Amino acid sequence: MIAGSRSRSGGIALEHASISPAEVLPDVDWLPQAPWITIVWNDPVNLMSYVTHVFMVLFGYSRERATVLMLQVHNEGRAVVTSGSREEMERDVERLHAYGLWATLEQTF
Amino acid sequence: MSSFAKSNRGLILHLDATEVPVLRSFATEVLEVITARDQALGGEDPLARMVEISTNDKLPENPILARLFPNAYDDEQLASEFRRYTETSLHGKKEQAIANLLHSLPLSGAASIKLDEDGIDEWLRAINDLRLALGVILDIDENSDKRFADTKEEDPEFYTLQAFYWLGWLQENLIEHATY
Repeated sequence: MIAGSRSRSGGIALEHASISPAEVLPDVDWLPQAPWITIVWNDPVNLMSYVTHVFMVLFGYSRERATVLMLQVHNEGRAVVTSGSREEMERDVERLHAYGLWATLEQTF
Repeated sequence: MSSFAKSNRGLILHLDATEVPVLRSFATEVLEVITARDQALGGEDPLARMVEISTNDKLPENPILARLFPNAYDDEQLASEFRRYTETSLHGKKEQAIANLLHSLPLSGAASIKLDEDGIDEWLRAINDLRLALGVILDIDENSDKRFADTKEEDPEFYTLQAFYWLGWLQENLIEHATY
Protein backbone atom coordinates (compact mmCIF):
# COMPACT_ATOMS: atom_id res chain seq x y z
CA MET A 1 0.00 0.00 0.00
CA ILE A 2 1.31 3.43 -0.85
CA ALA A 3 2.05 5.12 2.44
CA GLY A 4 0.58 8.58 2.62
CA SER A 5 0.69 11.17 5.37
CA ARG A 6 -1.68 14.00 5.74
CA SER A 7 0.18 17.18 6.56
CA ARG A 8 -1.64 19.97 8.23
CA SER A 9 -0.03 23.36 8.43
CA GLY A 10 -1.96 23.87 11.65
CA GLY A 11 0.71 21.83 13.37
CA ILE A 12 3.18 24.66 13.42
CA ALA A 13 3.74 26.18 16.81
CA LEU A 14 3.83 29.92 16.52
CA GLU A 15 5.67 32.05 18.99
CA HIS A 16 3.42 35.01 18.87
CA ALA A 17 0.31 33.33 17.75
CA SER A 18 -2.47 35.71 17.03
CA ILE A 19 -4.24 33.34 14.77
CA SER A 20 -5.97 30.13 15.70
CA PRO A 21 -5.18 26.76 14.10
CA ALA A 22 -8.53 26.80 12.32
CA GLU A 23 -7.47 29.83 10.30
CA VAL A 24 -4.14 28.27 9.37
CA LEU A 25 -5.67 25.11 7.93
CA PRO A 26 -6.04 25.35 4.19
CA ASP A 27 -9.47 25.53 2.67
CA VAL A 28 -10.72 22.03 2.01
CA ASP A 29 -11.78 23.08 -1.48
CA TRP A 30 -8.32 23.39 -2.90
CA LEU A 31 -6.74 20.42 -1.18
CA PRO A 32 -5.63 18.12 -3.99
CA GLN A 33 -7.82 15.05 -4.42
CA ALA A 34 -6.14 12.06 -2.85
CA PRO A 35 -5.58 9.59 -5.65
CA TRP A 36 -7.36 6.29 -5.71
CA ILE A 37 -5.55 3.05 -6.36
CA THR A 38 -6.46 -0.38 -7.66
CA ILE A 39 -5.02 -3.30 -5.72
CA VAL A 40 -4.81 -6.83 -7.05
CA TRP A 41 -4.75 -9.52 -4.38
CA ASN A 42 -2.99 -12.86 -4.52
CA ASP A 43 -5.05 -16.00 -4.82
CA PRO A 44 -3.95 -19.63 -4.97
CA VAL A 45 -5.68 -20.46 -8.26
CA ASN A 46 -4.69 -17.88 -10.85
CA LEU A 47 -1.67 -18.78 -12.96
CA MET A 48 1.27 -16.40 -12.89
CA SER A 49 1.29 -16.39 -16.67
CA TYR A 50 -2.39 -15.48 -16.71
CA VAL A 51 -2.02 -12.62 -14.25
CA THR A 52 0.87 -11.22 -16.30
CA HIS A 53 -1.21 -11.60 -19.45
CA VAL A 54 -4.15 -9.73 -17.91
CA PHE A 55 -1.96 -6.80 -16.84
CA MET A 56 -0.61 -6.52 -20.37
CA VAL A 57 -4.01 -6.78 -22.02
CA LEU A 58 -5.92 -4.46 -19.69
CA PHE A 59 -3.34 -1.79 -19.00
CA GLY A 60 -0.99 -2.06 -21.96
CA TYR A 61 1.97 -2.70 -19.69
CA SER A 62 5.15 -4.17 -21.13
CA ARG A 63 5.84 -7.77 -20.30
CA GLU A 64 8.57 -6.64 -17.94
CA ARG A 65 6.35 -4.29 -15.97
CA ALA A 66 3.46 -6.74 -15.92
CA THR A 67 5.78 -9.47 -14.64
CA VAL A 68 7.16 -7.25 -11.87
CA LEU A 69 3.61 -6.45 -10.70
CA MET A 70 2.57 -10.10 -10.92
CA LEU A 71 5.56 -11.14 -8.82
CA GLN A 72 4.66 -8.50 -6.28
CA VAL A 73 1.16 -9.94 -6.03
CA HIS A 74 2.61 -13.41 -5.74
CA ASN A 75 5.34 -12.66 -3.20
CA GLU A 76 3.82 -9.86 -1.17
CA GLY A 77 0.18 -10.82 -1.38
CA ARG A 78 -0.91 -7.71 -3.25
CA ALA A 79 0.20 -5.01 -5.65
CA VAL A 80 -1.01 -1.59 -6.69
CA VAL A 81 -1.58 -1.88 -10.41
CA THR A 82 -3.12 1.47 -11.36
CA SER A 83 -3.91 4.82 -9.79
CA GLY A 84 -6.10 7.75 -10.70
CA SER A 85 -9.61 9.00 -10.09
CA ARG A 86 -12.18 6.95 -8.27
CA GLU A 87 -14.20 6.45 -11.45
CA GLU A 88 -11.14 5.22 -13.32
CA MET A 89 -10.29 2.76 -10.53
CA GLU A 90 -13.85 1.44 -10.43
CA ARG A 91 -13.60 0.74 -14.15
CA ASP A 92 -10.26 -1.01 -13.67
CA VAL A 93 -11.62 -3.17 -10.84
CA GLU A 94 -14.63 -4.11 -12.93
CA ARG A 95 -12.39 -5.14 -15.82
CA LEU A 96 -10.09 -7.12 -13.54
CA HIS A 97 -13.09 -8.96 -12.06
CA ALA A 98 -14.22 -9.81 -15.59
CA TYR A 99 -10.87 -11.58 -16.00
CA GLY A 100 -11.22 -13.38 -12.67
CA LEU A 101 -8.61 -11.44 -10.75
CA TRP A 102 -9.57 -10.26 -7.30
CA ALA A 103 -9.15 -6.49 -7.10
CA THR A 104 -10.30 -3.73 -4.80
CA LEU A 105 -9.98 0.03 -4.89
CA GLU A 106 -9.18 2.46 -2.13
CA GLN A 107 -8.00 5.98 -1.54
CA THR A 108 -4.35 6.38 -0.68
CA PHE A 109 -5.04 8.27 2.50
CA MET B 1 -4.20 -35.13 -26.51
CA SER B 2 -5.04 -31.60 -27.43
CA SER B 3 -2.83 -29.65 -29.75
CA PHE B 4 -2.62 -26.19 -31.17
CA ALA B 5 -2.04 -25.04 -34.73
CA LYS B 6 -1.62 -21.48 -35.87
CA SER B 7 -4.24 -20.43 -38.35
CA ASN B 8 -4.38 -17.28 -40.42
CA ARG B 9 -5.23 -15.02 -37.52
CA GLY B 10 -5.53 -16.94 -34.28
CA LEU B 11 -5.28 -20.63 -33.75
CA ILE B 12 -7.01 -23.95 -34.20
CA LEU B 13 -7.48 -25.83 -30.98
CA HIS B 14 -7.74 -29.60 -31.27
CA LEU B 15 -9.38 -31.38 -28.36
CA ASP B 16 -9.63 -35.15 -28.33
CA ALA B 17 -12.71 -37.23 -27.54
CA THR B 18 -11.89 -37.52 -23.84
CA GLU B 19 -11.22 -33.84 -23.32
CA VAL B 20 -14.35 -32.45 -24.93
CA PRO B 21 -16.77 -34.07 -22.43
CA VAL B 22 -14.63 -32.92 -19.48
CA LEU B 23 -14.68 -29.33 -20.67
CA ARG B 24 -18.34 -29.57 -21.56
CA SER B 25 -19.41 -30.97 -18.19
CA PHE B 26 -17.53 -28.46 -16.05
CA ALA B 27 -18.55 -25.54 -18.26
CA THR B 28 -22.19 -26.64 -18.00
CA GLU B 29 -21.95 -26.99 -14.23
CA VAL B 30 -20.41 -23.55 -13.69
CA LEU B 31 -22.79 -21.92 -16.16
CA GLU B 32 -25.68 -23.37 -14.16
CA VAL B 33 -24.30 -21.88 -10.94
CA ILE B 34 -23.98 -18.45 -12.53
CA THR B 35 -27.38 -18.64 -14.21
CA ALA B 36 -29.09 -19.77 -11.01
CA ARG B 37 -28.08 -16.54 -9.31
CA ASP B 38 -29.56 -14.66 -12.22
CA GLN B 39 -32.86 -16.45 -11.72
CA ALA B 40 -32.77 -15.89 -8.00
CA LEU B 41 -32.90 -12.20 -8.85
CA GLY B 42 -35.93 -12.87 -11.05
CA GLY B 43 -38.38 -11.37 -8.60
CA GLU B 44 -36.72 -7.98 -8.63
CA ASP B 45 -37.94 -4.73 -10.11
CA PRO B 46 -38.19 -5.13 -13.92
CA LEU B 47 -37.30 -1.51 -14.45
CA ALA B 48 -34.15 -1.93 -12.41
CA ARG B 49 -33.30 -4.97 -14.53
CA MET B 50 -33.79 -2.98 -17.71
CA VAL B 51 -31.26 -0.37 -16.69
CA GLU B 52 -28.95 -3.07 -15.42
CA ILE B 53 -29.14 -2.21 -11.74
CA SER B 54 -29.14 -5.21 -9.49
CA THR B 55 -31.31 -5.00 -6.39
CA ASN B 56 -29.20 -7.69 -4.80
CA ASP B 57 -26.14 -6.06 -3.37
CA LYS B 58 -24.68 -8.63 -1.01
CA LEU B 59 -21.63 -10.81 -1.47
CA PRO B 60 -23.10 -14.12 -2.68
CA GLU B 61 -23.39 -16.90 -0.10
CA ASN B 62 -22.43 -19.50 -2.67
CA PRO B 63 -18.60 -19.58 -2.41
CA ILE B 64 -18.16 -20.07 -6.16
CA LEU B 65 -20.25 -17.00 -6.89
CA ALA B 66 -18.47 -15.11 -4.12
CA ARG B 67 -15.17 -15.78 -5.86
CA LEU B 68 -16.48 -14.87 -9.31
CA PHE B 69 -18.18 -11.74 -8.03
CA PRO B 70 -16.00 -10.51 -5.16
CA ASN B 71 -16.33 -7.24 -3.26
CA ALA B 72 -14.64 -4.23 -4.82
CA TYR B 73 -14.36 -2.26 -1.60
CA ASP B 74 -13.40 -3.11 1.96
CA ASP B 75 -16.31 -1.00 3.17
CA GLU B 76 -19.54 -2.99 2.99
CA GLN B 77 -21.72 -0.09 1.97
CA LEU B 78 -19.42 1.02 -0.83
CA ALA B 79 -19.09 -2.59 -1.95
CA SER B 80 -22.88 -2.94 -2.09
CA GLU B 81 -23.27 0.21 -4.12
CA PHE B 82 -20.62 -0.91 -6.58
CA ARG B 83 -22.20 -4.35 -6.82
CA ARG B 84 -25.63 -2.88 -7.50
CA TYR B 85 -24.35 -0.98 -10.52
CA THR B 86 -21.87 -3.43 -12.00
CA GLU B 87 -22.94 -6.98 -11.21
CA THR B 88 -25.58 -7.39 -13.90
CA SER B 89 -23.12 -6.47 -16.62
CA LEU B 90 -20.29 -8.54 -15.15
CA HIS B 91 -22.70 -11.42 -14.85
CA GLY B 92 -23.65 -11.12 -18.51
CA LYS B 93 -20.01 -11.08 -19.61
CA LYS B 94 -19.13 -14.21 -17.67
CA GLU B 95 -22.27 -16.03 -18.77
CA GLN B 96 -21.61 -15.18 -22.39
CA ALA B 97 -17.99 -16.33 -22.33
CA ILE B 98 -18.85 -19.75 -20.93
CA ALA B 99 -21.93 -20.14 -23.12
CA ASN B 100 -19.91 -19.33 -26.26
CA LEU B 101 -17.28 -21.85 -25.24
CA LEU B 102 -19.99 -24.50 -24.76
CA HIS B 103 -21.57 -23.72 -28.11
CA SER B 104 -18.30 -24.27 -29.90
CA LEU B 105 -18.02 -27.81 -28.53
CA PRO B 106 -19.60 -30.80 -30.29
CA LEU B 107 -21.96 -33.02 -28.30
CA SER B 108 -19.54 -35.92 -28.63
CA GLY B 109 -16.24 -36.87 -30.17
CA ALA B 110 -13.17 -34.75 -30.80
CA ALA B 111 -13.23 -31.08 -31.79
CA SER B 112 -11.22 -28.66 -33.90
CA ILE B 113 -12.10 -25.16 -32.82
CA LYS B 114 -10.94 -22.09 -34.70
CA LEU B 115 -10.27 -19.19 -32.36
CA ASP B 116 -9.46 -15.65 -33.43
CA GLU B 117 -8.09 -13.02 -31.05
CA ASP B 118 -11.47 -12.35 -29.47
CA GLY B 119 -12.17 -16.05 -29.24
CA ILE B 120 -8.90 -16.67 -27.44
CA ASP B 121 -9.67 -13.86 -25.01
CA GLU B 122 -13.15 -15.23 -24.37
CA TRP B 123 -11.89 -18.76 -23.84
CA LEU B 124 -9.22 -17.51 -21.46
CA ARG B 125 -11.81 -15.71 -19.34
CA ALA B 126 -14.21 -18.65 -19.42
CA ILE B 127 -11.54 -21.19 -18.56
CA ASN B 128 -10.29 -19.00 -15.75
CA ASP B 129 -13.76 -18.86 -14.24
CA LEU B 130 -13.96 -22.65 -14.51
CA ARG B 131 -10.62 -22.93 -12.70
CA LEU B 132 -11.76 -20.54 -10.00
CA ALA B 133 -14.91 -22.62 -9.49
CA LEU B 134 -12.91 -25.84 -9.33
CA GLY B 135 -10.52 -24.13 -6.95
CA VAL B 136 -13.44 -23.54 -4.60
CA ILE B 137 -14.73 -27.12 -5.00
CA LEU B 138 -11.28 -28.53 -4.30
CA ASP B 139 -10.62 -25.96 -1.58
CA ILE B 140 -7.34 -25.00 -3.24
CA ASP B 141 -4.99 -22.97 -1.08
CA GLU B 142 -1.25 -22.30 -0.88
CA ASN B 143 -0.62 -25.79 0.56
CA SER B 144 -2.66 -27.72 -1.96
CA ASP B 145 0.35 -29.04 -3.87
CA LYS B 146 1.37 -31.00 -0.80
CA ARG B 147 -2.19 -32.06 0.00
CA PHE B 148 -2.83 -33.41 -3.48
CA ALA B 149 0.59 -34.92 -4.12
CA ASP B 150 -0.61 -38.41 -3.22
CA THR B 151 -4.10 -38.27 -4.66
CA LYS B 152 -4.88 -41.55 -6.36
CA GLU B 153 -7.43 -42.59 -8.96
CA GLU B 154 -9.73 -44.08 -6.34
CA ASP B 155 -9.87 -40.77 -4.43
CA PRO B 156 -13.13 -38.90 -5.01
CA GLU B 157 -11.25 -35.70 -5.85
CA PHE B 158 -8.97 -37.30 -8.45
CA TYR B 159 -11.13 -36.62 -11.49
CA THR B 160 -11.82 -33.03 -10.51
CA LEU B 161 -8.16 -32.45 -9.73
CA GLN B 162 -7.06 -33.80 -13.12
CA ALA B 163 -9.55 -31.51 -14.80
CA PHE B 164 -8.22 -28.57 -12.78
CA TYR B 165 -4.63 -29.26 -13.87
CA TRP B 166 -5.64 -29.84 -17.48
CA LEU B 167 -7.58 -26.55 -17.60
CA GLY B 168 -4.46 -24.80 -16.31
CA TRP B 169 -2.37 -26.41 -19.05
CA LEU B 170 -4.96 -25.39 -21.66
CA GLN B 171 -4.95 -21.86 -20.33
CA GLU B 172 -1.16 -21.58 -20.43
CA ASN B 173 -1.13 -22.75 -24.03
CA LEU B 174 -3.81 -20.27 -25.06
CA ILE B 175 -1.84 -17.48 -23.42
CA GLU B 176 1.19 -18.41 -25.50
CA HIS B 177 -0.86 -17.72 -28.60
CA ALA B 178 -2.26 -14.42 -27.36
CA THR B 179 -1.16 -11.25 -29.09
CA TYR B 180 -0.61 -7.86 -27.50
